Amino acid sequence: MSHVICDKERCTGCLACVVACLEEHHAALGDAPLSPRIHEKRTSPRTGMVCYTTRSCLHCADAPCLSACPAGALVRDELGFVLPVRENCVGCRRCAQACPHGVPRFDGEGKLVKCDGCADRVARGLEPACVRVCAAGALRLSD
Amino acid sequence: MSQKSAPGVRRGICGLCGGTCLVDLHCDETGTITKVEGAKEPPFSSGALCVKGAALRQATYHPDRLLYPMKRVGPRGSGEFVRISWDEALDTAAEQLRRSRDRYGAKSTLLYVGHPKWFRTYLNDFANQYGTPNVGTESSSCAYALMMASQSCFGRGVRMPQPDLAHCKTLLIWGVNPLHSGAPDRAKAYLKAVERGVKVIAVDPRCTPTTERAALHLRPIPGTDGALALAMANVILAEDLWDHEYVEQYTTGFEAYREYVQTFPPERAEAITGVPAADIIAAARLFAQDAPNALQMSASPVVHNINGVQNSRAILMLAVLTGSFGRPGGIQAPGPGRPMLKWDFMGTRLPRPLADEDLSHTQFPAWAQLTPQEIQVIRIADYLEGKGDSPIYTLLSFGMNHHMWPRPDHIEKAFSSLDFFINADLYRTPTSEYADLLLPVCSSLEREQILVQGPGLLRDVEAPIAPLGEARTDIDILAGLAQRLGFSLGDGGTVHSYEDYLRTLLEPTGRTLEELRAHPEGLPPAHTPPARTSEDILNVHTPSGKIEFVSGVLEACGAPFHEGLPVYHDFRETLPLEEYPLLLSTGCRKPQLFHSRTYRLPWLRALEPAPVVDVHPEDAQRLGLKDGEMAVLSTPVGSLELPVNLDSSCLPGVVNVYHGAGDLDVNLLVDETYLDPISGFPGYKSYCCKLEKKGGAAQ
Repeated sequence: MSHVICDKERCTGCLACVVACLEEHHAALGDAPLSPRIHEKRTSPRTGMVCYTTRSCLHCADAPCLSACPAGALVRDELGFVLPVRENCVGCRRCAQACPHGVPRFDGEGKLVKCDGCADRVARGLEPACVRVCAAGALRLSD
Repeated sequence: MSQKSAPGVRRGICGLCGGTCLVDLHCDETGTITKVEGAKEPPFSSGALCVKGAALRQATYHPDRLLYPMKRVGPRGSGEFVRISWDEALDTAAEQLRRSRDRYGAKSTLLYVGHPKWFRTYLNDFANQYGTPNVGTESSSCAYALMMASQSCFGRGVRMPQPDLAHCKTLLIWGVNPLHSGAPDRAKAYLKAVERGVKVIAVDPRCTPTTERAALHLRPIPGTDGALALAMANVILAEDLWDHEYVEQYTTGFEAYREYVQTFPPERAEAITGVPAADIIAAARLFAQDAPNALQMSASPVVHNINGVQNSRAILMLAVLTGSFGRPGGIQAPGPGRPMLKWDFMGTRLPRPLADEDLSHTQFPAWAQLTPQEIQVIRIADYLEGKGDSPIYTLLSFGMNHHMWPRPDHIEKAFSSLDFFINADLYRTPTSEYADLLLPVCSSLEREQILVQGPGLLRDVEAPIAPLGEARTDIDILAGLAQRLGFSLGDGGTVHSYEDYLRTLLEPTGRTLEELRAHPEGLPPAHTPPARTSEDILNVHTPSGKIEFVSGVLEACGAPFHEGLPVYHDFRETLPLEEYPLLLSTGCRKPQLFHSRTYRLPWLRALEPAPVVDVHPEDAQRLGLKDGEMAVLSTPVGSLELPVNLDSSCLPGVVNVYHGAGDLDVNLLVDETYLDPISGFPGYKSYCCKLEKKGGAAQ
């Protein structure tokens, strides 16, 4: 299914996408919420250079998280994105156990934090917020 | 004027750094920003932002924003302030400035501006009319040392090397990481050059995403850059790769330079720098053989060493040997004229009366020659305590961050020697806590601005949001003080307000503010200076009229270390390395941090632990340190506890700490006398330390 792909050769580890994702999804300013976009260090085997790379949900066609969730906190929308529904999350973490990619994470209240594909932007013909902000052109929405 | 009447998307300019990136601000019906995005305006902006710009909303509405004038009611440094009116604030400030001048003389007042550049000419004008030569800026430890180096070679008006990235075939990028610092446009320009097939030689002690994309990466011990550059010159000369005609026609001092360069064969530089001789030779050949070749440097790393100016000069001279300065594809390439804005930061210098009575000309004679519009304030603690040539009783500052200098603890003590301290700023900062008066200023989003885009477009960007609280622009504050002191700002005294400032900017362009407001898409200027040819650029303003391998200005100072040649002095000879065997390099860029500005932003602070000490795994293993555990970092002047971050990007033997973190600021550990004698810049990138596990000695 359509999801944001990070080209690791182009990515410069600048982390703009991680914060742009917050800006798109998180109205409040006083705290430090977990971003739906995940950043992780990688080390260049050639040089030992350490920098970040980022990833988010693959919005799998047969998403195991969807079937695992007992509370209706994950739903598939018309565009095919798997949307988190935070209000319904009971914090059981079955989605995290089911996901082979380590995507679902949980905030300070134990509720699900996950990429929603910027579904509302895509529905309006806009690119996801992370794709727009990336100066290196490393991010794109796959078909 | 502002765009604030209805919900919608407004254009603004981010002010978090000096990049002036255009942003789109989604605003609700109250005029409050609900979302920030990068503006999409090909070819200038593609919608990209840096990680800091992505947090602009958090920075704009931060609870530490100063919203109204305040006066101190508790002891200085206690942070106890009460709100007052602007009239009382400006009346009190002006009265203090007048009293100080009457009682102690005008030069007992020190004026200061931090990072902002846009109103510096007006601060100079204010200082001149008030009568004090003591004006300082943040450039006392940023940018100006590289400008001094450039001007000593290429003369007045040549500030930093401007690489022609669109046309070069080879790029020597020395001490810059444009993928993690500066505006995204700069990152893109680098990526585009790499994609275009430019051969990049990157010089950086650390491995970064920038160095990953280089054809050749040299990793000198920080502070040894001069030896590396001189050895590259040695190879270029020995293998006859230099531009004979260019050197003959446009330069002076070559024979003395050649003789000096011959004392730096690659093997000697390998012993000094740690860079293998074979790599030095390869780099020199790669740089010199494939013309045109460009050089890119940045404002701080090379000059943050105690031999920084001379090291920078040695690097710049590589662009002279290869005939790159003033040539297409090189540096300072010929190009179209750009619209000039009046009294804009660059290109305007107002001579200071009484410059020969200022605080720093004795200790820093080259600074006085090459940076004549202001003093070097690095010894500010001494100046405030009356240990300078003349005492300081009053300080008027716009955005001072005393943490940017070594030993901010000394500076805090020195604040208590002041009679009066007025500080205008965006936020309550650690420096603000020592002021007697606090004045709230507008952020970049709260004032209308004129932008020059590309070579030929003038834009007016109206203020997207109203000033927060009672914030005013810095120009309005200066004009308010001037009026109470009996003078007016501007050429002919015509600037009484921010709008006057905008109109003045536009005078040389032949466009009016009204025209530009009516055309938000921009207009070309009615008058543009003519294009500059190579001959124009090569007609340099040095004492000799030629590009100088031997600097006449430096030699004429007749001061220790002020040599005409780019002499290499090794910083390690000055350091107690037996007791402090690790090198400490501070301030190497992390994308989410920008000096002390970003520690208050949780969205950025939460991305990774900060501050930490970055340690190469080899060093950590030898010292018995594990990732994440607390260590004690000690230097000859103090120690701090910091968590260890294992980082194989570091050069073994050198630990890295980012600066500016309040009580955990590594600048507390840097000796305030550890300065480049020419520029006064601290040796932030090449100091010494030891590292031990907290609670136990190193193995």
